[in-house]
Amino acid sequence: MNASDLLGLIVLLPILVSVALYFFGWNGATQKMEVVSVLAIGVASVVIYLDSRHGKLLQFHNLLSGDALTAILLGLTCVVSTMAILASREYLERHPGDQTKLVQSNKGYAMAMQIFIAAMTLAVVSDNLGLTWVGIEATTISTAFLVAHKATTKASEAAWKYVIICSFGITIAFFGTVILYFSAINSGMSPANALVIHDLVKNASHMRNNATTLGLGLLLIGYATKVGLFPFHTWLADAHSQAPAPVSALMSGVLLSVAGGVLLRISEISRLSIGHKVFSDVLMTMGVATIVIAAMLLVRQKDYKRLYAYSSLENMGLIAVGIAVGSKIAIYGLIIQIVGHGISKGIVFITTGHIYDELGDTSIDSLRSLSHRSPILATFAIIGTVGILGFPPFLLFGGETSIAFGLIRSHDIIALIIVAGALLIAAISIYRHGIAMLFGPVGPGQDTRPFSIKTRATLMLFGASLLSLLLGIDGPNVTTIARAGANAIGVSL
Amino acid sequence: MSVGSFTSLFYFDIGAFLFFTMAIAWRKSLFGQVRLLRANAIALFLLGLLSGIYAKDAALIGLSIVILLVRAYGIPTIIARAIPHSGDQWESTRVVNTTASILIVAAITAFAYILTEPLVALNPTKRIASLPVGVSALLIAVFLIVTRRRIATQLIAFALFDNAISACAFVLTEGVPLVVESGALLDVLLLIFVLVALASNMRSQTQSMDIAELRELHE
Repeated sequence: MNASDLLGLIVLLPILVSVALYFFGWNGATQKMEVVSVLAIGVASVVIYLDSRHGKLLQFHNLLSGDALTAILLGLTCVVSTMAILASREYLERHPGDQTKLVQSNKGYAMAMQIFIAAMTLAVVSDNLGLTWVGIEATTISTAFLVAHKATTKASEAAWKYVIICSFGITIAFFGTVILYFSAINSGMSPANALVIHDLVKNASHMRNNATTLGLGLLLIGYATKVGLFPFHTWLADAHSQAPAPVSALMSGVLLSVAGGVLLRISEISRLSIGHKVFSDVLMTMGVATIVIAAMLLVRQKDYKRLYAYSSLENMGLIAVGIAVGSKIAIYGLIIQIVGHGISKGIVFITTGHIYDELGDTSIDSLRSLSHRSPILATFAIIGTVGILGFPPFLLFGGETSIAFGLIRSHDIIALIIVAGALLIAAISIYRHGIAMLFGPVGPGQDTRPFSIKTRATLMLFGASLLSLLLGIDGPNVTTIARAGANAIGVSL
Repeated sequence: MSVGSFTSLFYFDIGAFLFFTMAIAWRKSLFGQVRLLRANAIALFLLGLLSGIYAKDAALIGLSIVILLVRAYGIPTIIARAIPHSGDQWESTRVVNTTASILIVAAITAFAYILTEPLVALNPTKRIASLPVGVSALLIAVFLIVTRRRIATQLIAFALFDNAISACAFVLTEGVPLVVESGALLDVLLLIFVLVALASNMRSQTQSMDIAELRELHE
């Protein structure tokens, strides 16, 4: 087996684990297999990154490939997936569904989780726009059951909206893929290579025509839906708030960024074919509008899971702005943003899951004095929240400032003012709600019981928090890796 | 097969494809709509089959047969299960009524010709000249998704939307590569299956099949 085979193996392994789960059930042995399948993604991430440093692009036929950006997204997938799988054990122990129904059983949940991870991995390693589409659509299908796992009316409603809106968007992306394929063939590319991303990038300069513009426009709309950009954002808060906490962590921390990564790849084809401006103007408007909408919805938020879901929306808006700016520093910033947001959001969503298990409610008003009721959960909530607010030394500080510098250098001053204002409103809102939940006095008649958390859950959250801090402190290495990621899409620093 | 007979048959078939799409906008019976969806998918299968026979492409013929199995048999059968066999089987609560729907569908078809002009101009062959018909079907499906409130009709409109994109792919490029088309077919089949399972859950929880009832999560 050579290094390129790893690309196929990391997609196949979670699928095989889900088959094992189906036949042998969710037990000690299959739980170990779940962890092995995601750790393999981490190993592949390191191998791909080391190869990319020598200028080598790993390729598996014309279907999969791995460069430094792939390695970064795989690394993030490994970290957050490991957190989600470990947190799922607590969740399933506390919320055993109807074991007679596959979709509500522990086995069904674990199977859907593995297929979800396989689908995200496929979307990351795919070097073929068609296969990328298959991967992203498969994430919607697998997460539909996960979002609806609680089997409540609200969960079913959230899952329905999520599947209809995202699938509609992704189907539009499929139409965009067909049109881009048509354009590539008409530009002289062979049908076998006309969907291969690296070949499209090489051939992009010969694809200056209306079909390319239309195809890229449809791809932008389609994948923007999956990223949760305005005006296709309405599914995001519903799905994130109703899904079990480990699923919310994975959806917010990885899935949105994986779809953002696809937009980044498409932006490169756009830049080299129809010119950056057409694509970037639309994306900039969508990104800025998303940040503004998220900030407005954060102000009057009453539900702490929705609070963090809208924070994801705000961060995705910022990532879209980074792609729209498209300069060296902005791309570098958005890569940092993707990693920092993924890990911090994993920490906060899993922490909110433990809080919900104890409290049985997700309203902000019902949660008071968390610092007294569980200093451990309060500490993780603070670390995660400070991380997503972009305070130093966390990664998002570097990400946000780099994107802001990108806006200044590209003279997008109006966009910068709007984005900075909206981010400030969002930060104040999260801070205000956070302070109330952490230190606010318990109201008359409210439950004051202390919250408990298992040691293994504490250790997992401690490890993730430590990683989040270390990545923020380890500037030189993080800079080198993010630069390599930016180089992978043709932007050298 | 001569170029002339291929073109005539292709045009006739894609016309039938559009006719069945338009008829869904008119039909109120949910089971009637499923039958029209089946007919629409058979027309799609014939598009692939004709292209495969004309191009002497065995893979394309094979793909058409898979389309027949998945889109004409599998998906309509699964959707039919989401329709209650006792009780209301009619699309009685539409945002836009039948007469207005037919007029809008006609306007959409005219608009599709204007919209696709630059694409057709890029490679003005007889096959690609029929692209506006595929795009009309696609836009009609979008119109149905937006204006229909019954869960079953949304599922039908969604399946139509997907059929229309496949029809456009046949018109533009004789289908996308096999691995992609196979993945897309599997995804769509699973997606419809997921939606039907969710619809069944919602029906048992809310005793309703109207998406206007889904309002618990409003901000």
